[in-house]
Amino acid sequence: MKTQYRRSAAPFEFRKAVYLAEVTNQRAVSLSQLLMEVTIASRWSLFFHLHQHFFRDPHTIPEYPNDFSSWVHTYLAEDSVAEKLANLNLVRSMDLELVRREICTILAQHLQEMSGERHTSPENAFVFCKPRLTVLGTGRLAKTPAEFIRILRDIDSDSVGYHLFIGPRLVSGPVMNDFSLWFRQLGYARLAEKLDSFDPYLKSLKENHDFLLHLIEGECVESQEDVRDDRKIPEYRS
Amino acid sequence: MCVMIEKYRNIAPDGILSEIRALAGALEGRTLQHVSSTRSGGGVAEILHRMIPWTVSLGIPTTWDVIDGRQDFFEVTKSMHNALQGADVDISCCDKEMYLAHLGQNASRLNLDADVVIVHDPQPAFLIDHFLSRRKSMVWRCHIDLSRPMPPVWRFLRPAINKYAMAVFHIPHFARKDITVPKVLISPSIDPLSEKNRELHEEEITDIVEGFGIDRKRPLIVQISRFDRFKDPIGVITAFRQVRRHFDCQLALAGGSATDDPEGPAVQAEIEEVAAGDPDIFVLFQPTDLQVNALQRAADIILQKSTREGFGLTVTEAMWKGKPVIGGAAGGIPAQIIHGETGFLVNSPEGAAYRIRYLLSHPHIGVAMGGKGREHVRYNFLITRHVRDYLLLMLHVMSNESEKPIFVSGPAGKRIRRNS
Repeated sequence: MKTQYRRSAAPFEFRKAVYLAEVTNQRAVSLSQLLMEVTIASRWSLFFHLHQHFFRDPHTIPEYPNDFSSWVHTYLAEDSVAEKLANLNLVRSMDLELVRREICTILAQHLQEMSGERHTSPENAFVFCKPRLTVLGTGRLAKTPAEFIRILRDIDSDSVGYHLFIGPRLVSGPVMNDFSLWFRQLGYARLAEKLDSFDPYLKSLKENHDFLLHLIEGECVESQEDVRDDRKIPEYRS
Repeated sequence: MCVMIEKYRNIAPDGILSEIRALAGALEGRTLQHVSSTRSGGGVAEILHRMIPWTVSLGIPTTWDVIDGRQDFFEVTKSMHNALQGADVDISCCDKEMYLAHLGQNASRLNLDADVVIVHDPQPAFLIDHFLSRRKSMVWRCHIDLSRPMPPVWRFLRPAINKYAMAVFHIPHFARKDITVPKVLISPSIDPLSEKNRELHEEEITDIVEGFGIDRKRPLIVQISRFDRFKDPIGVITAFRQVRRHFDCQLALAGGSATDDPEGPAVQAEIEEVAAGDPDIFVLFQPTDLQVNALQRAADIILQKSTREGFGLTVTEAMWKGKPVIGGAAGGIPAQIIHGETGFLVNSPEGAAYRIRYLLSHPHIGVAMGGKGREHVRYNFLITRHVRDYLLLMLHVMSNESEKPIFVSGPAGKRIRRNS
């Protein structure tokens, strides 16, 4: 049972991302305009409006957890639509095209069912932005689960946010998050599965950080003694 | 070890300080140049005085040039500034010619040769015409609300703006669609170590506010802002009087008028007339930064009931002092107040009155909101975040690439490599 964990993997490099928001020329003052603009918005623009709150304040999760739902609630007072947009199936949809389709379906169905449409003023328009990303190395490398846990304990929550939400989108292929990928390569299949299946969208970044630490510590301690003895994992050779 | 980073440790988030260190490592030896219209007075000069020591201490040689001119030159730039923010003024052809000629003279004595040059606000914007070969390293930094400019003045300025490599705005709504160069957002910031925002002892706060005649034993509601109709001071008094039917409380309206605002004295007279004879309303003219700090710290609730606003740094200052803030849903205020979390957004005196009454009857909620507001400012609106964003701006201007991420390796950011 324990021998299956002794695989080698490249060290896990903890990174983080910082960004400047770039304003696009896409704006919406009503649900029909929002639908039209979401249809043609870039994937990174969708990403920005679904995730920026995590990076603005790592300690809180807003009542409406993405920019679309928040704007529909605040400026159009269309609360049933806002609730549906808050309930997007993001955790299972790493592919932003699926999220785009889900948003469009919610908006289109609502527009079909209602007779009139509310508009907000131009100064309250939804303005589409996209991130200009800079990825920073933190200089922290983990070669073993024990090292990983030690670093995870004192790393910035933004770094956790990077590996949950941004890192997987910078590589090609279906990756739920960078953590599960690394632990799977090491042979921690059960942990990797748990890392793949938890929902980071229901928690603040800080809560996700605490949850991951607890989960990984628990699984590694339960599975083997490697957390206490780093030498049992082979050294990575590049 | 960077002196500035150490000064802000335990105030700013560690994460932002480490980001600054990494980005500064990647930019080491690069140069930055600011150009503005004045070295003293106004928000731009204030922020540059605080920002430049930061970038210099990070190993980025930084210079600051100021355009000069005769009084008639600055009268035109002031009119232009006001017209771009919506004032009903036009600029004659003669004035435009005089303005451009003076700027040409300034251009001949300036050497804009830094790796990145940031030109602040409209006054020096036309310098770009004299440095077209350097346009890829020049950024226009807009500090004003450009959402409703006087069309003829905007038509005059717009071609110059569209020659810059990039334009920077406070909030998305100021970034007009007819600006064709990349538009990025950098929020303004407050300095937690400045006189207006540094920590004060309770005795110091009490001495200052009691000096105004304010009773510290009774709840205090404060609005700090210019005496300007867009700040709705009369609406604030109306809301306060509705609240006072239910609560024994006091109101302090503190502010002044800008030298370029002819309406200021009239608005002040109006406020004084409406507040006359009310011993619980304190109208305080031109308080010092220290007095503003003390008033904000003595307050139970802070208002910024603007009907039109730029970014609204008084909201940021109030939140940094751990106070619940009730703000008008205008300009940059909704970008700062998280409704129901750090304060409330309102649209009328009645809305403000209701929220004040709610907070006075649930003081523990006000305290909790204030705590959340302070953390929100810590992450988003302190000068440290502003410095980090300027470093990011430098990287992005120098990389001349918008779609792919920039990679900075290592904690000291010694090397920049691009992803493939």
